[in-house]
Formats: sequence, structure tokens, C-alpha cells
Amino acid sequence: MKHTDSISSIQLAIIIASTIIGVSLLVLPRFVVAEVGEAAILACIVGLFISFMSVFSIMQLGKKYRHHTMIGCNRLLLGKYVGNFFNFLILIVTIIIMGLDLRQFAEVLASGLLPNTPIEVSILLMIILCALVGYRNVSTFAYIHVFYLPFLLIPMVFFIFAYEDIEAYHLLPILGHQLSLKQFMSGAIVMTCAITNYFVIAMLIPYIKDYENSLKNSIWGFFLGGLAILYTIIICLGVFGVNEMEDMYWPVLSLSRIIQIPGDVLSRIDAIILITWIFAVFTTLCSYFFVIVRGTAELFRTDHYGFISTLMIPIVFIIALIPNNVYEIYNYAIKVSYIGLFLFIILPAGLFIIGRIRNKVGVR
Amino acid sequence: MKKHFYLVILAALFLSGCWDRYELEERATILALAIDLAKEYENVEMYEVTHSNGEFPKVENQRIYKLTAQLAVPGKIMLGPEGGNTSSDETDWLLVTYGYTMKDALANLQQELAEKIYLGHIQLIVVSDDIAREGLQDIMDFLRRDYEVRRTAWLMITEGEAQKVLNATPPIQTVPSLYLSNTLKDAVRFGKLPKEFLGKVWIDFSDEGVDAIIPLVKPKGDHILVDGLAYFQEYKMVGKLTPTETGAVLAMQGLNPAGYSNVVKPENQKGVYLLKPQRRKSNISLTLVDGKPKVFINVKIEGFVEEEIYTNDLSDKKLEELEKTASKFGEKSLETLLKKLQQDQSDILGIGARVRAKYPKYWSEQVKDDKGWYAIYKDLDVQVHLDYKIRRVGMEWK
Repeated sequence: MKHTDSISSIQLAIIIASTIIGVSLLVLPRFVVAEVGEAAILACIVGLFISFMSVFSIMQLGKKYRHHTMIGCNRLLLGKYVGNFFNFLILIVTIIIMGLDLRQFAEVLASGLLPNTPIEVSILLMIILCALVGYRNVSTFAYIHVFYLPFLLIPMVFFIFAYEDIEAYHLLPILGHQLSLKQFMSGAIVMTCAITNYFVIAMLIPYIKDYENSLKNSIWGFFLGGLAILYTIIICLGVFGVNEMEDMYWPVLSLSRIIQIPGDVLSRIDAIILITWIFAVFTTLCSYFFVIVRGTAELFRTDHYGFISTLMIPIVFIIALIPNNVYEIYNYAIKVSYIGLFLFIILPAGLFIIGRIRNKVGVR
Repeated sequence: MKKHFYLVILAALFLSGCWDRYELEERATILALAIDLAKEYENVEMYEVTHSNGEFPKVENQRIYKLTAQLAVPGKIMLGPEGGNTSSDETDWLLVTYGYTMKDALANLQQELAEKIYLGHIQLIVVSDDIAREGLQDIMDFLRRDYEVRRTAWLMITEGEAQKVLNATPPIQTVPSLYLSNTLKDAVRFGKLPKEFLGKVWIDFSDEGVDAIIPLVKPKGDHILVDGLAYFQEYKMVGKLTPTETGAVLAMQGLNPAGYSNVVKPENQKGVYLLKPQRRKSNISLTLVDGKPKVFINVKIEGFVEEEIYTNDLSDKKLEELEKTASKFGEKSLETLLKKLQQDQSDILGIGARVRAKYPKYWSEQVKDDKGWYAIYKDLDVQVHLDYKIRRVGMEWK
């Protein structure tokens, strides 16, 4: 396939950052804390590190197979049938994760902002918005991420005003209370599962202009996004403590309701944080949709991106409507993300090793 | 085809309204809530809104809440300075309902109102001490669950009827509840109260090894008196602290600024002095001695002399003596206060949480939970050291 458009490695970094800051941000602190208690900070760092290994292996894979996306790599290294099986699996899992993320988004809107708006409407509008991005052009997609990143990061500064309410005894002991290694790792895995969406970079590798810098820059991008998540978790845990966080559904939303800006400039900042979060949701869902649309197109060797994205709207919409209540969404999401863990973390590393063994050379 | 598609998109953009549109005048904005227990002699009027008569599940000690809601009257509240003829009794509207639960009472209230109840602007929630002494968790669930309630609202306890607090109609501000919440906000700013708003109280309730303190107020006709703090054991109020004791708690927490002056009289002398702390620093340190936690509270206060009566002879020597007396006196009162708190088993300083943070192994083996902690806390060895330094004496030399 001939590619006329390309992105720079800095754009790649920004895509990683704005993708991993996503829907899960609102609820992630709660899940990590529910698993490991006070050890959430460490678990978060370990989880980020595991994900980081995967980013690293994807980038290394890309170095070797400069002109293949993940879909192409699967096909090249695992053979037509096995490779396509995994490709299908990747697409299906991405569709399901996107559907569930959309539902989470709609649920938060319904219970925190727009109680009377039917969730179907907010889900549908969000999917249409994602579908309208237009996936023919990779650089458009990159520009959207670049445009929104400041909107994601700047409002996070508001969290710092909660520092007064941070209690040291909420953050200690840093190793948690009588945690076995298994419990600790399950907390770390929750973190890893929540941010598997950086996988979108595996679909972008052929379009990177300056690949020699891309490893370094992607590390920076990952670092930036990871730091934002870590910072949110630390503030949430410091302010609320373990028990309170386990009682709450969306700790970050509650955090934004407790923050008072000195000087009474803004009396409530939860609206600002929610809007920020909607941007974050949008960029993350865009990345999922990118994987879905471009992946499907590559799988079927077409370039009717518009057709595919239109086709995907009802599919994602229906998946988003499957869970019956908020508990079910998260039950499904956790189950699916374990499959995602295999596809997005073990598979790239496995492919990298297989590539070494089989010593295949990528084709242009 | 494409043209039609764009047309649909455009129509969707311009023809749609906001689903959740509620104009200001369509909302019944509740500014304050007072929660009392309904007395037997009261003519309790319960509508069959959430349940048919007699169908509410019977439990032991069934409570019937009397909810007094202060509603803002739209259009009457002036923004900014205004001409003098609006008095506060026009800007708010007090309504009383009864119910078995919070939502039940609010549903009954909603039945009487044309507008939709809106809790997003709630400023304060006053709870009578009868309820607080029986436990607050039953009324907290609704407030926590409802997304409109702000975590920055104030929770207050009052002895006697909570409704009376809302009756206070101060002449200087048009909205009574705003005045009342400002009273507390300013009390925090001047160091008279710790920053214990609703969200903070909730955190204290759920934390292990920390007990909540909630501002205590007393209605005084058209205004309120900040009457110290009510302290809790888990969800139950177990006692109250006077304003001076509140000052002592704030000192032990090391919070600035300090809001309370203290009267000090050096022994064998005529003079009586009023000292005001200016800067406070506190350090709560823990050690584990023979498998038992030992607490050492080190408070450092820098203050100044505000008043001197019955004598006029301040000097550096006098100051030294005064510092010593103040330290000793302060230490003693802190110790008595801690004894009282230990006796009532209310750990408002969060010593338990600190033990839990510092000695997780000890906590999980010996203490386990709040109950275990109270048993240990009761006979905990707490030592207080107070170091009072007087830096200045005001505009008078002597």
C-alpha cells in the first residue's frame, strides 16, 4: 500500500499520552485501591512498567518491520490463518472494549451530569463524533490528538488545590496492609489493563516519518500520560483514603467536587473536570475507532474507510447497550481486558521473539 | 444522498434543545436542610408518596425525621448591593415535611411543590443532636448517593431543635443560609473551627482510626453561635467540645491561624494576661514500646500578649515567666482534653490512622479494626509537650 501521509514521532508521543488518559481515569483509582489498598501508588508504577515493556516491544517490532502495522506483522510472522485469527481477535476485543468504555462514559453522564438524557443518545452522538473523524488520513487523526492534549492536561492542575486535604496517613504504608505478591500484582494488572489502549501505536508504525527518534519520543509520551494517571491516583488516595474510595463509584468526580479554588474564582470545578474528561474520552475512543477501522480495512485489504466506520457505528452501539447496570459494565470490562492483556502485551512481545527466531524480513 | 445526510446533521445540531434543561424558576433550590426527630406530640403528617400507609418496613427504634427545607425564592435574591427594602423573610421559604428516611421526606416535600427540588446549591445541613447521638449513617447514604449534593456543604450539629437554626434571619444579609454558611466559613478562616465540611466528615467516617468532628452551633434568635465541636465515635456523637477545647484540638492538629485567645495567670501574681497564639506547629510522633504504641504530641506555639489586666509591669523576665505558665497551663488542658477523648473513645486526632500507617504489622495483628483500636486507645499512653513562646506584646511597652 502506498502511504502519502505521515506523522512525526512527537505526534506519536502525544497520541500515546492522550490515548491512555481516557475513560478509565474516572474509576481507575478506585479499582486499583480496591485491589491493593494503600499500595496503589506502587501497584500503579508496576502496572505502568508492565505496559511500558509492551510499548517497548511494539516499538522494537516496528523497527524490524518498518512497513507493517500490527495486523501485517501478525500475518507475516504467524502465517495467514493463525495471524488472521489473532487479527480478528484484536478487532473484536477492541470493539467490545470501545463499547464498554462508551457505556461507562454514558453512565457517568447519566448519573452525574445529564440525568434525563437517555444514555442511548449520548452513546450514539459520541460514536458518530468518532466516526466523523475520517480515518483515511492518519495525520488528521494525529492532529486531533495534538489539539486536545492541552485540554486534557491543563485542568488536571486543579487537582493540586486539594493538597490541603491530603493526609499522610492515607498514603501510608506504601506497601499496603498484609498484601501477598499475588494481590499486589492483581492491582498492578488492573492498571495495565486500563491503559492497553496505547496499542493504537502498533497501527501507526508505517506512517512515522522519523522512526529513529520514535522510541525515545514514545517513551516520553507514555511517561507523560502515565504520570498524569499516577498523579490523579496519588491525589485521590491522599484525599479520600482507602475506605472512602472503596465506597465511591467515581473518586475523581468526587475529588473535583471537593476542590475549592482559593479566592472563590470558581465555586464548582466539577463541570470543568467533566468536560476535560469528555475530551479525554473522545480522544481515547478515537484511538479505539482508529484501530477498528484501519484494522478492518487492512484485514480485508480495502480502503473504504468511510464505509467501515459507518458499519461499525451500530455494532459498537449495540455492544454499549448490552450491560444491564453499572456493576455489569465493570464486570464485563474486567473480563475483556484480561483477553486484551494477552493480545496487547504478550502478543507483541511474542511476535518480537518469533520475528527473531524466524528471521523474517519485512516487505515493503 | 450526501446532501441529505448533512441536512440531518445540521438539523440535529440546531433543532435539538438540552434534554436536561431546567430553568432557574423551574427549580426549587434548597439552600439548607434541618433534620430533626419528629416528636410524639407533633402532628406528623405523612403522605403516601413512597409507600402506602403502614407499609414501611418496621424496624426497632423507628425514626421519623422532620425535615425543614429552606428554599430560595427565585427573583427575590439580589446579586450584589441593592436598595434596602428587601428583608430576608422574603428571600427564603421554610417548608416542613416528615418521612421515615431522607428521600421519603424529600419525596413528600416534592409532592407539595410545583418545581423540581434541586440540591446543587445546598449550603448547610443542620442535624439535631438527638439524631447525631443515635448515629448519622442513615441520613448520610442519601446525601452521598445523590449527585447534586456538594461535598463542600457544611454539616452542623445543634443541641435541641435544628429547625431553630434555620429560623435565624440575620438582618445584614438577604439569604439566611448563605449567612449561616459564611459564619462557618469565616470561623474556619479565623481559626475557630477545623475545616470539617461534609466531604471531610464523610472521609473521617469511613477512615479507620479517625473519628469525625462536626461544628456545633446554637441558635441565638436572629443569628447563630459557633459553640465548639461535636465529636463522634464512628457514626455516633459521643460528646461536645467547648470553643476553648476546640482551640486545643486545633493546636494539636497544628492548624493556623489560631482563633482563640487564652487567659493565663502566673502563680502568686496579680496580673492576668490574654495570650493569642499566632503560629502553631504540631508533631504527633509514635513509637512502639513493648508491643504497645506510645504517642508523643509536641506542640509549639508562638503567640503575643493581647491584654494585660490588674497590673502593668511587662518585661522580658515577666515574659519568660508567662511563657512557662502558659506552657504548663496549656499542657495540662491538652492532657485533660485527651483524657476526656480517650474516655469517650473518640479518636479525633487520627492517632489510630497514624498507627495504622506507621505500624501496619502491629495494626493487622493486634488492632485489626476500629473496635480493636478503641480498646487500645482507651488506655493509650499519650504524652503532650507544649512549648509556648511569646514574641511580641502589642503597642504597649509595659
